[in-house]
Amino acid sequence: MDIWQIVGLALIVTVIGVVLRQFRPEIALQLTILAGVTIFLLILGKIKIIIELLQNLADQASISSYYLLIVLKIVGIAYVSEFGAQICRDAGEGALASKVEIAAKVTVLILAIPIITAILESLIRLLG
Amino acid sequence: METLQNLVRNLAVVLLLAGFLEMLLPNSSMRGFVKLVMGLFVISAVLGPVTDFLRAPLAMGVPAWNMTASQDLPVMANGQEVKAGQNAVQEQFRRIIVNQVQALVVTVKGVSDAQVEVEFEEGAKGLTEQPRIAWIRVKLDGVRPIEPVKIGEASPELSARAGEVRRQVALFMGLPEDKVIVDE
Amino acid sequence: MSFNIVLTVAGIGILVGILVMLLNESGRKEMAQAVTILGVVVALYIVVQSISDLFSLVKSVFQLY
Repeated sequence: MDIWQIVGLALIVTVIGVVLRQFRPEIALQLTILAGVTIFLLILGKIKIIIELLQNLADQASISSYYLLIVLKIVGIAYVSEFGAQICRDAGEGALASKVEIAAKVTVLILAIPIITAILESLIRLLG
Repeated sequence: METLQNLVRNLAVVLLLAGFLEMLLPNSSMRGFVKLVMGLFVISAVLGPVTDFLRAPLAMGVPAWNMTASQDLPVMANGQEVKAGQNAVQEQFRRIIVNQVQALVVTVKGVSDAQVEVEFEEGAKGLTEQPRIAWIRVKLDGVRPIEPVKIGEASPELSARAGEVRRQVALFMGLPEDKVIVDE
Repeated sequence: MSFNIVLTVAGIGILVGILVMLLNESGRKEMAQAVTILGVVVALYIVVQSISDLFSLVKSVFQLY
């Protein structure tokens, strides 16, 4: 079980971080980022299993994987931007964090635009 | 009857997928986007059989189901049949992308119609894996607007609308601009 | 295992902190500054490498190209 490793790592890094923050806050921040990356790497293996399951399911139901891929990309962008934004917010850069979130939302919307135009197109052809 | 059965089964799977994917999200601020895309998916799924029933010939730009499902294919024992399934899936992706690019290009000012070709890179393995786009070639129809002739320019430059088309296609399909070729 | 990297950075932090304290006590302020910056750069090098690993893994899992 990875959960013990993750919680243990987080607790140890928290203790070291509290000590380090008193005299070297810049290196304490880097320590936090690194711990976050490590935990993320541990989780990603499991996320990959879930996604493979979903893709198998979609494949068996003969669902066009186009939609699934778009939604997967949205989830991926959400994860990465959340990661960056929370680190920025932790270091006291709240403004930067919300900019990262805005950028993620715009990117996701741009991913969805091709589908919206194509479906609108076929709807208009159907009705017109 | 069979279409109805298929429709219900596939809709159930889609809703299940939507639920899973929403649970997978790290924060709830992206929930709306996932719901939007899944809603479009359901619209496309319902529209397909309805238009079949009405016998209205409608080329759906983004079909919800694969035309050749993997379970309809013969048992994939040898490489040739896997390749056949892959080719069918690739063909469908090609059609989807061509339709999307056409819909995008027509919105650019001064473009009335366009022919689109898409070429994929080799190396997509599974049936569900989306092949990567090698290049997109867009051939614009309609009259090319007359531009002031500049003396001393050696290479023929792209006209303003071709540049615009190239920029938009590259932006929306997530490609670098040099993979989009625009002819006039 | 990637836990080692985390502990390395923690070690760098503590080492740099002690060195800077010693240098400040002995009156060499500019050297203390240099040690601080060096420590930050070394830690940043490690952090950037692991972030690039993370991003390539995320790209492959979510098929983001």
